[in-house]
Parts: sequence; C-alpha cells; structure tokens
Amino acid sequence: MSKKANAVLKQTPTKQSMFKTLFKLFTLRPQLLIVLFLSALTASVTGIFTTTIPMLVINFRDYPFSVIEMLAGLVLIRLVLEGISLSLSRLIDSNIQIFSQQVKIEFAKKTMNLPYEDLEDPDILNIKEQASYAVIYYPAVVQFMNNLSVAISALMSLFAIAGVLFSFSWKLVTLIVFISSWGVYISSVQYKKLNESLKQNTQVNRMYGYFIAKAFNPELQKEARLYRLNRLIVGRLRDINHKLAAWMQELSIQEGRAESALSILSYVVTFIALTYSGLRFSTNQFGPQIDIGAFTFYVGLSRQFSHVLLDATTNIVNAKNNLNILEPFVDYMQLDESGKRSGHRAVPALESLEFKNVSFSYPKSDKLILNNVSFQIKQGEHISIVGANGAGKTTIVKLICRLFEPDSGQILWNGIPITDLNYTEYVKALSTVFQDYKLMPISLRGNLDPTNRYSDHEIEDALAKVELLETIRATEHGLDSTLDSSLDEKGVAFSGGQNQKIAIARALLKDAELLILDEPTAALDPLAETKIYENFASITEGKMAIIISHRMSSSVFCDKILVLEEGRVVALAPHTDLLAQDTIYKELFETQAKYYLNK
Amino acid sequence: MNNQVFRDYKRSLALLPMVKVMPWLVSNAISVVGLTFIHVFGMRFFVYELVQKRTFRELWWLFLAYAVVAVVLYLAKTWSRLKVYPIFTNVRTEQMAKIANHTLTMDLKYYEDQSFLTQAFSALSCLSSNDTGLEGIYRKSFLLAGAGLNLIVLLVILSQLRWWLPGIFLTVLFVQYLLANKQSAFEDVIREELQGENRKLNRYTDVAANFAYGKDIRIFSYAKQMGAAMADTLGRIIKIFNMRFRHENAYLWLSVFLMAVPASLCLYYIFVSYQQSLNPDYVIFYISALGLVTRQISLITSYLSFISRELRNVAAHYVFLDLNLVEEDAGRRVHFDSAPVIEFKNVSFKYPNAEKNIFTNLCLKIEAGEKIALVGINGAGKTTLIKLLSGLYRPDYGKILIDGIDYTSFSVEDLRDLIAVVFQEIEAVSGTVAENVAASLEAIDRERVIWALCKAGLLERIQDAKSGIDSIVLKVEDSEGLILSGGELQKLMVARALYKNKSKILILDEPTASLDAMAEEKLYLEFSELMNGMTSIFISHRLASVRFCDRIVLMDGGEIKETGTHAELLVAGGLYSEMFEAQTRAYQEKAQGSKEKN
Repeated sequence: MSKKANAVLKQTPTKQSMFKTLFKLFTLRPQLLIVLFLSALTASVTGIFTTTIPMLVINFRDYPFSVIEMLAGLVLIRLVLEGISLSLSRLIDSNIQIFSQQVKIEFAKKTMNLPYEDLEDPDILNIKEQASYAVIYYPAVVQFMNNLSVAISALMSLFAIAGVLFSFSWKLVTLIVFISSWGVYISSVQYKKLNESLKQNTQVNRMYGYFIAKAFNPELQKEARLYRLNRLIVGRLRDINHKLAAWMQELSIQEGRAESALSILSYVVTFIALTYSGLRFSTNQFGPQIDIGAFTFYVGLSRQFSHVLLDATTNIVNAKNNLNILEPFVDYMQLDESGKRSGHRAVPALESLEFKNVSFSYPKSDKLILNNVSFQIKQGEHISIVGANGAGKTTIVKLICRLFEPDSGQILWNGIPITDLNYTEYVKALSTVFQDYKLMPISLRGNLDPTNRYSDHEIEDALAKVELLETIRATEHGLDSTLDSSLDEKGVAFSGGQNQKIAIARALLKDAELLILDEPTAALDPLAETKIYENFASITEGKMAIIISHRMSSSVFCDKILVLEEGRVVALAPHTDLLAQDTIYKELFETQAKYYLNK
Repeated sequence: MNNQVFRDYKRSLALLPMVKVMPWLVSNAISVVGLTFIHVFGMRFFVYELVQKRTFRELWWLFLAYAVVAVVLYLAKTWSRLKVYPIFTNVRTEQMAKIANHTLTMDLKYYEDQSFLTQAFSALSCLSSNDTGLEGIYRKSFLLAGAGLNLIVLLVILSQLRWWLPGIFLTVLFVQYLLANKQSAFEDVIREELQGENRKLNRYTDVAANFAYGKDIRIFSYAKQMGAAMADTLGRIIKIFNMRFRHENAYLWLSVFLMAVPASLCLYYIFVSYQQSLNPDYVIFYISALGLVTRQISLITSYLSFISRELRNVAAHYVFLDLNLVEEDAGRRVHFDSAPVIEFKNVSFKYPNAEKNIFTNLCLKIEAGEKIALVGINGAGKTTLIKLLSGLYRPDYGKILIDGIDYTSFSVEDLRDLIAVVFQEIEAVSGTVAENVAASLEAIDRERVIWALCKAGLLERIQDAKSGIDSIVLKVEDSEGLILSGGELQKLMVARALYKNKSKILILDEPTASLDAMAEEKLYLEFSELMNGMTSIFISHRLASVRFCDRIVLMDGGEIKETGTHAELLVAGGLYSEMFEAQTRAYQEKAQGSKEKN
C-alpha cells in the first residue's frame, strides 16, 4: 500500500476530527438541521397534544373556557400543528436535495485540490470509491444529520413527558424504560445488519450502474445493433435483477422480524399502561385515584413516552453507525492537500531543461520505467521523443509536469531542481496536450482561457493557428458554445478532430515557457496534420516544445529526436544524423516511410 | 386525472402480477381497518366498563386480549407490506431492462437527435428508485387501498353523530385533491428547468471528481472555473426551490384550514352530546374517530397527488417504449457462398434532423472480392457510407445492391451476418472473452471462438491468461480482470467480427490510430490476409496503409472525387495526390525545416 494511503488509514480519525469535518459540512446548509429539528419537535408536540384532547373535553367543566373557546382552541392548535408539520416536511425535502448537491460539490472540490500523485495511487482511488458510496448511493451524511436532530428533539420531549409521568408513577416510568431498552437493542442490531448487507451489495449495484451506462452509451450504439449486444448487456442486467431480488427477499425477512419484535414490545407497554392506569382509576391502593379523563390521558402519554424513548435512543445508535459508514468519506475529505509541492523560488524564463540520471517507477509497481535517463534541451528547441509503446515517453512528460517525482536523479530548469520552484508558478509555465486530453463541459471560451487572461482577439488568433476559426464563427454561439451538446441550448458537438484542434489551441494560447504535446494529431486527417507540423515553428513562436508521436513524420520537423528504448536514452540527435546510425529510430522511421518513399 | 394519465395508470397496474399482489393488498386493508376498529372501539369499551365500576379483576384479561389482537393485526399489516414491496421492485427493474433493450435495438436514427438522449434519460428517472416513479406509484396505491377502506369505515362511524358529516369530509377531500393538482401543474413547469440544472450540476461534479480529468484541471487551472460553475448552478437550483416552496405553502395552508370546517362541526356535536349525556366513552370514541379521519384524508390526498404527479414522469417512459419498434423484418433469407458485388446506385441520404444531404446520387461499384481503401478528410462521409452499407440506416433515395439484389429486401439477421464491421470506437463489455467474441451469454460455440481469436491473431495472448477464453476482461467486475492494450482490444473486435463466420463483406474503420510504426505494419499485413475471400472496405487516414488495397476511393464533401489504383491517382494529380504529397513531404529528408523558418 502506498505510504500516504497507509498513513491516512492507520490513524482512524478521532471522533473529534470526524465531528470537526462533519460540522464544517453541516454549516453548508444550517437550514437543514434546523428544519429537521423543528419537524421532530413538532411531531412530539403534536403527539402529546393529541393525547390531551380527550381529557380536556371530558373534564371541560374544570377549565375556565367556554365551549366555543375550547373548541376553537383545540381545532386551531391541531390544524396549525398539522400545517407546520407539512410545511416543514416540504422544506426538509428540498433542503435534503440541496444539501446532497452541496456535499457532492465539496467532494468534487476536494478532488480538484488533491496533489496529482494521489490520483494515480490505486489505494487513494479505493478510498475515494468507498467515500463515494457513503455520499452518493447511501446518503449517510444526511442520515447522520437526521439522526442527530431527531435524537435531540426526542430527548427534549422525553424530559417533558417523563416529568409528567413521573408525577403519576415512577414505577411505571421505570418499567417502560426497561421494556423499551429491549427495543433499542433490537433496532440497533437490525440497523447494523442492514448496513452490512448494503455494503456487501455495492459490487452488484456498481455492476448494475455499469451495464445501464453501457446501454445508453452513444458510442456503443452502432456496434450494439450490428452485433446484437443487447443480448449481452440486457442479459447481464436481468441476471443482476435476479440477484437483487433475492437479496431484497432476505432483507425483507430481516426487517420483518425486527419490526415484529418492536411492535410486540410496543403493545406490551400499552398493556402495562392500560393495566396500571385502570388500577389507579379503580382503587387507591397504588396511589391517588384518578378520573376517567386522566385515565385516557395517562394511557396515551405512556405510549407516547415509549415511542419517544425509542426514537431518541435508536437515533443515537444509528448516528454512531452512520458515523462508521462515513469514515472513508471523512478520510478522503481530510486528505492532505499539500503533497510534494515544495519549492518557493520564482520560475525564471526557460533557457535549458535537463534530466540528470533520472530513474523512476510508478507507485505500487516494481518495473523501472525510466532507467538513468539524462539529456538536455535548450531554449527554443523542438524535440521529438520516439520509441516503442511502453518505452517511457509519456512518463518523461509526467515527470516534467511534476505529476510525479523521480525516484532518483534530478530534473533541472536552468540548472535549478524543479522541486525548488514554486509549484503554482511552475504549472503556469507549462502547456500540454495529453494523449487522453480532456475538455470541460463549459463554454469554449472558458475552456480555452480558464484564467480569463486573454481577449477574444487573442483567443481567435489561437483558433486561427489550428484552422478552426471559420468553423467556430459559423456556429450559432461561437465562443460561448458549451462543449457538451446535451447540457444546455448552447451545446455543440464537435468531431474528434475538431476537439483535438481545440486542445491544441488551448495549449498554444496559454503563454507558457514549455509546450508539451503527446500524440496531438491522432484524430486529424493528413492535410490538417501536415498543416500543423509544417507551421509548427510559427505557431509555437520559438517556445521550447516536446512532441511525442507515433507518426514518424513529425520528428522530421523537430530539431532533435530523443530515442528511448526500454527506459534508456539511446540517442539525442537530429533526424539526418539518426538515419545514419543503426538505432531503433531508423527501424521505426523506415517501416512507415517506405510506403511513401518507394514509388 | 385526465384521460392519458388515467390510461398510463391502468397500464402501470397491468404490469403487476395481480394474482400475487391481491392477497397482500387485501390482508393489508383488512388489518388496517381491524386496527382502527379495535383502537376506536377498544378504548371506548374500556372507558365504559371502568366507569361502570367493573373491578379490575374482571377487566385485565380484556386488556390482554386487546393487546394480543392488536399485535396480530399489526404484524399482518407489516408482513403484507414487506411481502408485496419486493414484487413492485421486480416489476420496476424489469421495466429498466426493457428500456435498456429498447435503446439498444431501436433504429439508430433516433440517436442523431440530441433531445432524444435527454428524453431517454428522463425515461430512466422514473425507474431509478424505490419510492418515486413507477415503484412509488405502486407503493402509494397499495397504501391507498388500505387508507380508503379505513376512511369509509370511519365515515360510517362519524355518520352516527350527524348523518351528513361524511359528505362534508368527502367534499373537503375532493377540494384538497384539486388544490394539490393545481400545485402539481405548477411543478410541471419548473420541473424541466430543475432537471436541466440538476443534470448540469451532476455533470460538473462528475467531471471535477473524476481522476481522469485531473491532469488538465491542474495544468490549465480549471478548478476556479469549475467551482464557479458549480456554485452558480446550485444558486439557480436554490432559487427554484424557494419559488416552489412559496407557491406550495400557500396551497398547503389553504388545504389544512379547509379541514377546520368539518373538524369543528364534529367536535361541536361531540361536546353537545356530552353535555347532555355525560358519557366519557362516547367522547373517547368520537374524538379518536375524528383524529383518524383527518389523518386518513390527509394521507389519501397526499397519495393521490403523489400518484398523479409521478404518473407524469412515468408517462415519459411509456412514450419512449412505444417509439419505433424495430422495423418490420422484410425477411428474405439470403445466403452468399462467395464475396459479393456491392453497388450503390444513385443513393441519396441525409440524417433525420439535418437540412443538407450527405449524399446525393452517389454511385459506386465494388467488384466481388475487391479490397477498397476509402479515404478522405474528416466529415467527407466515409463513416456515413459504412452506416448505410451495414444497414444501420437506409438510403432515402436510390438503392444499395448486393450481388444485384436490393439489400432492403434481406432479412435483418442475414444482412448482419453478411457484413462484419470493426469500428473505430472500440470497447469491450465486462464479461468473459468468449462472451465478448460471441456477443452472447448463451449458446457460445467455443471452437468457433478459438478459431476466430486465432485468425485475429489474439489466441496466444488469451491462452496465456489465467482462464483462457473464460477470463474476465476489464477490471469492472474482477479486480484481476484481463486488461488488453489498444491493439489487442482491436484484435478482440476483429475476432468478434469473424466469429459470425458467414461474413463475406468486411469493413475496417481506422484501426491503427494508436499503434507504433511496427505494430502498425504488422496489423496491415494481418488485415491483408484477413480480407482474402471477402469484399472489403478499409478506412484510414494514413495513406501508406492503403497500398495493399486493390483500389482507392477518395471522398470529399459526400462525393466520390477520385477512384483508381494508387499509381493511377498519383498520375492524375488530384486531391489524393495532394494528400499523399503532403504526407510524403513529412518523411523526406528536408529536416530542420522548422529551424530554417525561424
């Protein structure tokens, strides 16, 4: 396991730190806690109030109200309580939805702030997946809030009710508490079982989500019809349905048993309340006699007491359980964001970039991807990195981007180790088009100019360099088009080649010292590709550039070629020089070139 | 409820296995009513007996009986619910499967329509949870039956106070329902907007939380923008909720105070009677009944409005299911022993929502067993040609003839078997290698799977894996699943194409985009061999690859601009020649051209 993940998991977050993290989340939407609390309180108050009505009516002569006043009062209070309760439940509904989205946003923001090396760490990914489960599939944070609020309000009502009942009979209170405690036990065991069960089922749920996503994946649709993939996909879905059905059966039975036990206990309490109150009505052997109105009151109140007691304690127990479920989520939210981003020096204008005896293997892997690699590039040079798949080309690029740190050796920027340079400034000095580049589902302008530094004129310039300007001008919303066609009315769907041009324009626009391109023209047709390479010099305006491409033709336009074989540097020289030598470069080049050059 | 909504409700109910559901429905209704009975009558009885000075000794066993009967009824109610809910879930998940199947088999033309996809997703939303949508409707209907019966019993009881009281209560119920409906209508208006904003927000959070976006987010500092986008969208969502609440609240309180009328009347008459007769048991009896009636009416109103609201969502998925069932299979069985002649005769075609034709009067003839290289810049129409040929779309005008016969007369199955296509976007489906090659879960011909893998050049790699052709691919279901490289994945797709074994037409689309030079060459040689005995079409940007084809067809803007052998086209000096020159220049030893231009 990676060191960092280990460190995180070894220290189980203390209850304190968990509460701190969760408390920060609650403050995102304090309204939710408030309405949850008020709602629980209203329910208790309503329960108690309802219990008193019969007694009030029966003994109405004892009270200084006229019939009309009493009537109006009872109806009014009852209806107001009902209205408040309904209002609150609508508020709870919407606040839960809002809060859930807020939690998701915080989760996403956290991910964006993590140091990159964490993203390629499979253990961190694991923590993330468990954390997602706690937040997306099973809204544990909301449940926890609910547990807390219900518990608190129930405890409050509990004291009020207990006070009244105590004055009636402390023995009764004790007996009810005793019986209800069995209920708490049963209910918490059931809740635990449920959560275990849910956890075990995450795999099945995940597969379900996977196959549904497959069925609706637009890119799969052509093949789906030609190969009747519906048999495969829907077949698996139905399989999963059966599994889920079997699981639900089990769950129902468990739930049934628990609820049965609880209801038996509840009616035991009723029986005891009836019996005792009946006795107190009939004789004064057990205490001062009560009238019939009081009889109905105390019977109702006892039941209410038992109910509220159960509420309070089960919610406290469930809060504890939910806290456990939330552990991975809290772990994730507490992950250290500073990473290896050391370094305070300002980043000077780039004059030379050097790899000095760099060796590297990926976390959780023994294979040495780069083995004692050394080379140097000068300002304004265009370098092509060439080699077979897996030779280490993309790794060099990731190291330059400080996405990882070398295991040994140094990378020097004007002779300064890049780890000494301020990370944020350093990242500003780079511009990339990765092989698996991504565009954001926001406007084209936002994609190209994320930090809002450039004028529309400059943005259009960059688009012109990749010959995309006319196309953009021809769209309805131009730079304001959203790069995700299904998202809103400004959405546009560009082709693969056009998207790649956008990525290149984005890299060109950013005023960086060093340009890095990894297979930047894979989706472009021959004419478009050739245009880009032929004009490479003018469009990069003398910046240092590193290009990785399988199309050997691109290396001809570069000043020098860095040839890698199994993690080692085999040569660094211009194209013509390399053709004179007998390296793997020559082999790769001639394999492709022969189709063109043998007429 | 208007007509359509009612029909959708009937349709939803028709999906249920009524034989299984009814017993539980009945037992639930009976236990609910039973509980009402013993509660209301029970307390009355106890109070009466106590007041009549029965001794406790005579009563305690009645208390016991009450508790026992109550427990039994309560258990019956609980178990009915627990037994019937899984049935509802099964129906819902089966509908999901139907929707998934429909999506994968309906005419491809629907996928060209962006709004269709949003429609498809909203069809899913009514099937994605236990307590909303279709399943929510089932649950509430189930509870509605019990509550309805309960209400009737209680109203009968209350009619003893004054015979016309039930009428007032029912009127209140009706008006509350109308108000709830008006509220729903308002919700319809904001629902689309809310869904749209939620979809946006989900997309933003998915992207921001996706590790795959991590590099670009950091290099280009997207964090702030994405954060702002998320905050803005959330702000709009909150606004919508607030507006909805203000609206709802008004209706809500109005509804609640309507109840004041019958409730006060009831209470008044209870008082009056009590003043005259002084029977406390009487008071208990009617007050409990009153409390329960108001509760039932409130529940019933909420169930009814829930059902009619959710039916609107459910309607969307019925509309989707009813859309285009797969075209009638024209059904002519055909069989080809050898590679056929393909001819496009005056074919015109445009995508359903497009304004312009992709092809107009396109003519192309491919001889039997010919290997055609289809080249052209992006958007020239190459992929559309393939979609037409493989039957995914049909020409608007003109014909496509295979061995002289109009292909629209072929049975769909035979046409699919005849043509094997390997597209550019390749994805395996989680499952075993054999399942992926055979594209099926059952009746897999293992011998043929092995033969296809061999011919595609992937057999050794698979046999080296832990479970051979039964190895699971991808890491989705098995963390030790087989991960295939880009090239290997492609070969898997080729094996799938070959498995059909009746194919006489082979189409390959851009197969070497991600391979290095030598792997690429190897693949061309292998394809060349594969294409023997079939009429084949090979699409590629890299002009070098088309050398091993018999003829080249160059498309531009939906027209066939040039056709001929490589040599012929170079001599002709047209667009092909220009493209070839451009690519060749790159390989010529005019190196350091970039430096000179500085």
